[in-house]
Amino acid sequence: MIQVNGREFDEHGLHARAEARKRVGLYDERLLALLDRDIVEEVEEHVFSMIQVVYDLQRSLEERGARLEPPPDLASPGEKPGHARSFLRRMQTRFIRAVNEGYVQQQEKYNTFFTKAVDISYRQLCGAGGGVVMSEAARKRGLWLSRRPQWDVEAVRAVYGLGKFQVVMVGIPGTTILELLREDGRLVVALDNSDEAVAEAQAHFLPAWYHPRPIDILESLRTEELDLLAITFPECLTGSEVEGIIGWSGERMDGKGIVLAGLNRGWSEVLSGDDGFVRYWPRRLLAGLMERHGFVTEDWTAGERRFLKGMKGS
Amino acid sequence: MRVHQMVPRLDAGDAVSNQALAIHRLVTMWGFESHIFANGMDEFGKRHASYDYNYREFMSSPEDLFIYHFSIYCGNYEMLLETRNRKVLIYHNITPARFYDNFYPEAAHLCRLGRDLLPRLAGCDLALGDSDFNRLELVEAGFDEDRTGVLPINPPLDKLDGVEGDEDFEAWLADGKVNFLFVGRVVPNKRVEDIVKLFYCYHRGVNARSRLVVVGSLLNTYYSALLSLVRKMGLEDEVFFLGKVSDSRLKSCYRRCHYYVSMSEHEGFCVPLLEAFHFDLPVLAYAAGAVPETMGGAGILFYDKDYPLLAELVDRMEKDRLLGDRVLTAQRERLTSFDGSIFTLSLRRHLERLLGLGEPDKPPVRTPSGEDESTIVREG
Repeated sequence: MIQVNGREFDEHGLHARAEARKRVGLYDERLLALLDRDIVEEVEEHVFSMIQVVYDLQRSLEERGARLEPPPDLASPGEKPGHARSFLRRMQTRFIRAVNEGYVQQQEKYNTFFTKAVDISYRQLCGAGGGVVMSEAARKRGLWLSRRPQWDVEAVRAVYGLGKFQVVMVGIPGTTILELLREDGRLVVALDNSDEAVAEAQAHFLPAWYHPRPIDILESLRTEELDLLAITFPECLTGSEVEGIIGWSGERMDGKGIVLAGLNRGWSEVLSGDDGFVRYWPRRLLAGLMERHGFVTEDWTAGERRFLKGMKGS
Repeated sequence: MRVHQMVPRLDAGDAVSNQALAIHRLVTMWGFESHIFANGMDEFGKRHASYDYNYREFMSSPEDLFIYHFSIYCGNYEMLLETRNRKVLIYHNITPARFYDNFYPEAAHLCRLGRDLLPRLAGCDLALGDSDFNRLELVEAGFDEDRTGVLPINPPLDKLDGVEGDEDFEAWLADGKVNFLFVGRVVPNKRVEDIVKLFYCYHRGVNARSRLVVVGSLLNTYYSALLSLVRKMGLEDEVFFLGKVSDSRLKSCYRRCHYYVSMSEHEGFCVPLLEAFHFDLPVLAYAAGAVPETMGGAGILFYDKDYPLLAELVDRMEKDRLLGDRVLTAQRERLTSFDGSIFTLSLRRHLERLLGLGEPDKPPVRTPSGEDESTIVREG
């Protein structure tokens, strides 16, 4: 029961919309399984417990003869207080003391600070280039990712005409192609690491999912009859992601199918992104990856767009 | 006559500490000598309190009043049992240990000790809960119902009013995304994972242009588990655990977020709900513990954690401005129940016999200077 200002709220409309989203594929089995997941399972699966990691580290260092008795302060003599190096050294000193004296469980503020530091480092290493730090890099990346050029009508029509069965799109080049494929019941899902593109598709009740690493959720898709996979903006993916996605489609399209990879360099001013965010993967590299997974490649133009087309069993 | 209060800790921004300070201010205004004692304290607390062992010198006086704030097991309860002062217990509730068992066994142990101790403290002259939910737990633990009451909490909601927001931070939050907010310690009974699940549904199914901001100190193992879950959901770029933040950032969060969500399964009161009311943030809260009582018929209360359904409700709120306005109007109205003058009156009514105060014959009236007239008179 839901109460709004103390009065029972009519939930019928809400139920209908939630069911509709499930029907069109916005909520999949993996999502529903994660909703049922008990957080304790995360611990049982041994999420890194900081305390454990710290003690394991200490033990292994000591077993190798390392001594972790810290000097009172690691700051070098004469260094001005407040300098970053001095600060980092003090943090390091504090950390070693925390290990030695078991502070970590006791000092809430220190815990907060330390876990945040771990989190930020983790995000900077593994996240999308900014994490919780609202850096210029994160802002630029967001800006670039939001500028997905839409496909023209000819490109939409030509891609729609490829294949007869299931389609997975990685990168959303507008909602028109998704709507056509959905009407035919062919669209399994459209994945994107731009939330703007996904939000627009969601507004049309199209099965579009956001994920910072689309490759991570391909394995959970049901694609018994996949015969078309389109990587519309490969420059938004890392090299290993591009390879992973092509490899995945090679396995799923055992008999027959097509992989398309957009060749977007020079196509639009909009796509002149900053270094580090836009990676114009060379045609030769993409062809090599496709061929390694059993596709025969050729250049293909649709409307104003250029693609590298990989074909199997044609 | 002197009034002594004892708290486990006196820290800046802590709800129990805030209440102890509010009582301290009032009894001082009523003309009594007032002291606060604490087992631990931060720099802020050191300006207002002494360590608890200092209370021993006042324990022999039967004239004095001793107010013991009980929110977690702390060895200083023995002074409550030993003191010859008249005794008042204020019960802020203790989280059931089961919430901590898998994450923080030491805290679970302290919670268990605290709950086991409660019946032994029943010999007080008066026992108050800061909600009726808490008062009923006292009665269940064996306190004489006739000597129990409710002292509504007096949250310092205006504490952020004079604080400047963090401009860069606000610009980040005002980028067009729908922002969900939770404020509170990131501990298992708050069920932050359920907020993440609701956000997951909303982000995946309804609107990917959204983010979740979680403000509050982080408990290691639980936080690690949350990070792991968030990563499994592919939300690591959209869910932000900010830890403890400055008042400036906290204000920015309240100002620039769009919905306050609580999935907590155990609350003795829950001050952040009222802070969200104060900042005109629609509140969606799971009906557990004292939450329905605190909400008092305002905001959105749900009894089942049906995440896809709740995601639709947020979508409905986004599109139906009238619904949002109705919620905000009721929330503003509810806030008037927590006016400082009501706390003053309530405290005075509860303590008038013990302190020998005259009963106020009319509701408190604000003087032009903002002073509460009923608190100026000193008797006894």
